[in-house]
Amino acid sequence: MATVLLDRVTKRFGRITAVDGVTLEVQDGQFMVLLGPSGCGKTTALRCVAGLERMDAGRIVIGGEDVTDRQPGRRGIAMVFQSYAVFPHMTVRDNITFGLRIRKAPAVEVLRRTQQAADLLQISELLDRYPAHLSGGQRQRVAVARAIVMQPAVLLMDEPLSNLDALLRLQMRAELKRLHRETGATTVYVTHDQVEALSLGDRIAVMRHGVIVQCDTPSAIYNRPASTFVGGFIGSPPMNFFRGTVEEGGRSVRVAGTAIGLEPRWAGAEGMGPGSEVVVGVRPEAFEVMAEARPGALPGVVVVVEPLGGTTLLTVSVGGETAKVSVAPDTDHEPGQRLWLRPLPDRMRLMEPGQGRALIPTEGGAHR
Amino acid sequence: MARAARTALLAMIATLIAAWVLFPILLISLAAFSSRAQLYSWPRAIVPTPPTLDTILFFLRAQGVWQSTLNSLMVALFTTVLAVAIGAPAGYALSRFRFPGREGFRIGILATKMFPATVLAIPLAVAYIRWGLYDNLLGVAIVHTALALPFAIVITTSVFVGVPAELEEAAMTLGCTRLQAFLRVALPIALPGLAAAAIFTFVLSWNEVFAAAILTLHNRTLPALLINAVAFAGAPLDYRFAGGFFMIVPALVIIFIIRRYLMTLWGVTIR
Repeated sequence: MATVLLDRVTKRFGRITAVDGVTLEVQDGQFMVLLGPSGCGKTTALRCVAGLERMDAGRIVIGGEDVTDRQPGRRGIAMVFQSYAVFPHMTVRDNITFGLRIRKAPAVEVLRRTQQAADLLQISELLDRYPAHLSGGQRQRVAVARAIVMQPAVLLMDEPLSNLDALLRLQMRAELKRLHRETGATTVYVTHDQVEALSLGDRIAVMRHGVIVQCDTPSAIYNRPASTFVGGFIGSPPMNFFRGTVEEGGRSVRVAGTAIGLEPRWAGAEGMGPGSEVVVGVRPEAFEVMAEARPGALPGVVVVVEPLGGTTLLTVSVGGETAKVSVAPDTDHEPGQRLWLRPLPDRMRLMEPGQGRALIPTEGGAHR
Repeated sequence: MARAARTALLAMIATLIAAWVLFPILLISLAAFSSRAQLYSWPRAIVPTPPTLDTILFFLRAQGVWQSTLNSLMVALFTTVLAVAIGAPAGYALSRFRFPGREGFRIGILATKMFPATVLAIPLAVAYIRWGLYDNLLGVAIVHTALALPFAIVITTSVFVGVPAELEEAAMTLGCTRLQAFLRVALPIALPGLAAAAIFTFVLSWNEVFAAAILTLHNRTLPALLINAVAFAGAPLDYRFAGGFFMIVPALVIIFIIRRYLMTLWGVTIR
């Protein structure tokens, strides 16, 4: 087992800087997810850790050792590729034993570990088949087995579930989580799927334009996004954003003509001067939905009602903007209906309108 | 309506082109199984009755044929080895790496096809006499290699493009060096395609007349022997037809076998 450190890693492709001075520390045994839209540099960062890209600057340290100049095979890593990269000209067994054979592991050891890996991924029946005769999900299992049979200190995964259909993805996701618990390998996992990131990660590093914009626990990322980008990228549907103006010295914010009361901790915070423009971020489930006008509640009109089974999703028009609101499934709503939305004060997030950076409430402001 | 007309027109053109290529081959094949008497009679029957092997046997017993066939085989083998040994690494590089001058190199490969062999013939013959390569099978193979290389490079490039780089990367993460990853993963997968490239090169060399005829005197390859017999020695008709047939058949069989690879090379997929 080992820690992983990306130390000011930079990688350019021609004039494009794919990874721009990224520093990231992954604790021993941690499941770290690199999350971001396509082209954000997450895969390139992972490939730098693997040693598949030559970096323009920075170091990779694995288990306390600088491995920057080491070949991929000498870094104590194993990798699962998005395309699986299962060797088509070898049986499943030969695929799984490939790395051990390259390392010249003793035959008994090879046999034992292969069986163990095959059992863990439930592919013992498939060992003598060729990849051409496997389904996508089975190939995926072979790719994972081939990686964990190496008992790597660090397991790298590049969008391993993105080529599976929805049901299989759900199943494999849980299996990967179980696998991580059982092997305990430090894992760096790349995905653009925020649900995957939230469900798998101990930590999530959200990337954009080659830099990490926020690295935190899934719940912190979800509840306290560091910017409008993170709030808008994570969550399905994403966070709602309303433009507002600070009033009463930071005790309330006026959105679409309605003054919404804020928690006292916002008073006097940076960017919260009277008359300041702010962006108010509210998760779809962080509204109190009311049938009649109340102070601090935004008036709106239901546009679309989407029952999703577990919840019902409302699209509500609020003063020219649309908001997504999730409500309990047994509530009665229909298009055209008027309702009032009161954002829960403790779940509101305020951002500055320029870069979309989250504003930080004053410490202890709540006790004032 | 217009669509049907276009399809019909296309089919007609395709038929014409196919006939243009296939009809002579058919005639030569039929003639190769006709007896000498039939070939010289007038009016000549198109379909030999009865078909006979006399003409083919006569050709095979003619002086120099076996030696030339052997020479052709040798030259074609040399050429294949050289062209694959040089072309495959070039194809691999083009498929895997972006390097300065890559585009220039790709165009440069085609540029070698710019100069007709007739223009190069005299300087080449002079150079060969100077270097002591004249009338030498290896010399012919070198020229054939130069002629075949563009094809070899283009084919092997497409072959290696078809082998995902991720497979080699996976092998490297599993402990292979770059070379091991190539040898254990990319090469075995590319092998059928490389074989196709090799066979194509073989056929190219087997059929090449001009350079072979100019650069050899005693050590004739089969096409060189035939062209000499036909053009200067006034070979009889049966010798000509049998010789033609003997040249065509291996090429046809081989092209038929590797046509799938040639199609993908030309950007067409048939299933």
